[in-house]
Amino acid sequence: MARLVNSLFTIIPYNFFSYRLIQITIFIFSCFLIIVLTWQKPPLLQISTIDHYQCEIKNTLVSNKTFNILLPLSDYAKEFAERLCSNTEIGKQFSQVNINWRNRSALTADDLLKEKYQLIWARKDTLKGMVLHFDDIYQMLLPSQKVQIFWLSHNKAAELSPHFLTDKIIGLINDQKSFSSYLVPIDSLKKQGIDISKLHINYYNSYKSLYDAFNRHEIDLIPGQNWFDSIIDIDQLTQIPIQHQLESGELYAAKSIITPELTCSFIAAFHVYIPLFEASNTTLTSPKYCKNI
Amino acid sequence: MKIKRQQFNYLIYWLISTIVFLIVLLVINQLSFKNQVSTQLNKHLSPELTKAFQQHIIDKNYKNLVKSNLNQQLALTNALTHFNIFKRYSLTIEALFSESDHSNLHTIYVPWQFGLEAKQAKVILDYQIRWWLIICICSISTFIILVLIHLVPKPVSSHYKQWLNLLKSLQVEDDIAKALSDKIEITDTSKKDWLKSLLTKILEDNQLTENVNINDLVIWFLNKTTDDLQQISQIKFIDALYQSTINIDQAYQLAKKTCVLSFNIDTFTININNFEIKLAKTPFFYYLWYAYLKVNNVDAGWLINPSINHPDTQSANTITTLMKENHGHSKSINELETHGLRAKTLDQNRNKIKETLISQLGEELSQPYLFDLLRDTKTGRFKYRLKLDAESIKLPQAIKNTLTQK
Repeated sequence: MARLVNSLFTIIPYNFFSYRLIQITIFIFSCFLIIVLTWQKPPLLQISTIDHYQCEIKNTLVSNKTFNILLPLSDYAKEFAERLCSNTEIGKQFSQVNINWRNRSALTADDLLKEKYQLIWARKDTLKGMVLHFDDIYQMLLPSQKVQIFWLSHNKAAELSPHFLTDKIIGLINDQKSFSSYLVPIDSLKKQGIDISKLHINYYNSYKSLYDAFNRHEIDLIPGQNWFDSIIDIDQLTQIPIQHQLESGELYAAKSIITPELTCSFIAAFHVYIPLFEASNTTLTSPKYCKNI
Repeated sequence: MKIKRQQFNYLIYWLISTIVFLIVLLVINQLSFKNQVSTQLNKHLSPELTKAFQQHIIDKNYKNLVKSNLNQQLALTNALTHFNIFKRYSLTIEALFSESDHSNLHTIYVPWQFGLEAKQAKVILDYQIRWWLIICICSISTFIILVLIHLVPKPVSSHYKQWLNLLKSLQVEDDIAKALSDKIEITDTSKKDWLKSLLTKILEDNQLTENVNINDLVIWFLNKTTDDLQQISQIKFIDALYQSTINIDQAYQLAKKTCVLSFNIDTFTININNFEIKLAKTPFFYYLWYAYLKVNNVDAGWLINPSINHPDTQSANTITTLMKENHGHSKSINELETHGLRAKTLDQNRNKIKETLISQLGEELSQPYLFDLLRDTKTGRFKYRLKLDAESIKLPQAIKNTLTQK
């Protein structure tokens, strides 16, 4: 070994520089080794998508049977599910309630034919477009609710007239497919006989930039819905309701499980969604027989 | 004491580097850990958060649902095995909507998209450090690193190489030459110069190279102090080394700048700087006689060779007395009594002294102990005396008494 080292140093000159170099190499290498050995690796995160809420029915008569619900929104899902879980009528047929919320486009014809969901909140046109004999499988419990859209303004004298709009700036979302923030507001202006080409309209790429600009009083008129009150204080603004209302969709239940008692229970539980329709003064009407149950 | 101090220094190095290492390791590990967690959160939590709110409209309680659901999912991954210096790892979402941005080792902000808005969730990363383990790792590893670094052989200096080459050319074996060069390397510069000139001179002289055991010489040298070496003349030392009968210690004594000559009348030996030389009886007494003349400054130590016709009877008497009292050779005593002190006798004995000294000390080294020669202006004959200073000669007490009585 020593001989080998000696012969090595006859090839490479072993001087003060290489001596320090070897020492530094040893130091760095050891440090590297220790850092590698003590390296702390966090566990792999596995987070599944939050797209459902599940609860166990308290007084159930069956086991392992899930009541599946499909909703287009995630709001009040927990409250809705809890209400259903504490209901004895549902407990007669099911052991747990599972509420799913998906994009409206996520629903397939296969889901409908196999009755994957026992309760569906969706638009009639979409469902009938998918399955022709839809009415044979599902029964409508509640008709579609209307969602009110407004023009919002800081100006107390705001109105949809050519005179008022001459020196005003209108803010819209730069998305020509948007029902609520482009198509419907433009349509309402046209119906008032206003020439769109003469208006001063600013287009924004996001709701945030639109509402920021509105809050800074850079624009005078924007379209809005009552559920945007987390961003702007709607109560302090002038609201001009737009005639055209958005359809929220109907509530359907699978005919295979539906009973008058269940219908009443579902409608009662569905009242958690009332806040969504407050501005359009909607009331959820239950069938008359529910009063007797 | 010196070794203890060195050990103490190493202990301090070890302590300091352990602390530095500990800090570095902790900082690197914690930062990288946070970074890794942060990357994972951005990769997995962020898109799920964004997705979770895509179907959301106005329900404010829904935020709590999402938060508790995610925290339940995070809690499942919190129980882990692959940890050593960290323990009790946990990840919790503190707020889904956080305005502040005071990031630290335990707070991670995860950006996500709330509809069209950019939001950030505040996640608390919590874990504990196994201090005993990290301290053990740091102290042991720094110890090993320090030992390894210390074990790297030091490069040989050009001086060391010179010494090695010098010793090798003096036929010293490789291993011994290396060991000796190591030791020479750490001696004083003045000593090194002395040795260098000595070894160079030895190298230039073939006879010296054969005579002298370089290994012994260097070891002897290493044991001497600078002061020791300053007391001797290197030329004399080399002259002494020429003599195969003289060992290194004796050579050192002989090479001393101060010469001391003493006489042992019982054994007929003279002692030159602790080096004993045995003389024949008769020459011994003549040498002692010359020494006496020098010490007592009789005619400044000069003794004129007597003429052939008039032998020196006075001196003859004195020498005879000296011989008689000290077991001198009877033949010599008879000769002196019958013929008196003759030039021939003096010449013979001086030559014998000279021969003996030269045979023992060599030509050069014996010179100070031999005789000065001068032609006497009055008589035209040669006169002789000891070269050595009177102060350097020590006569036996008994002789002094005998001769002064005379």
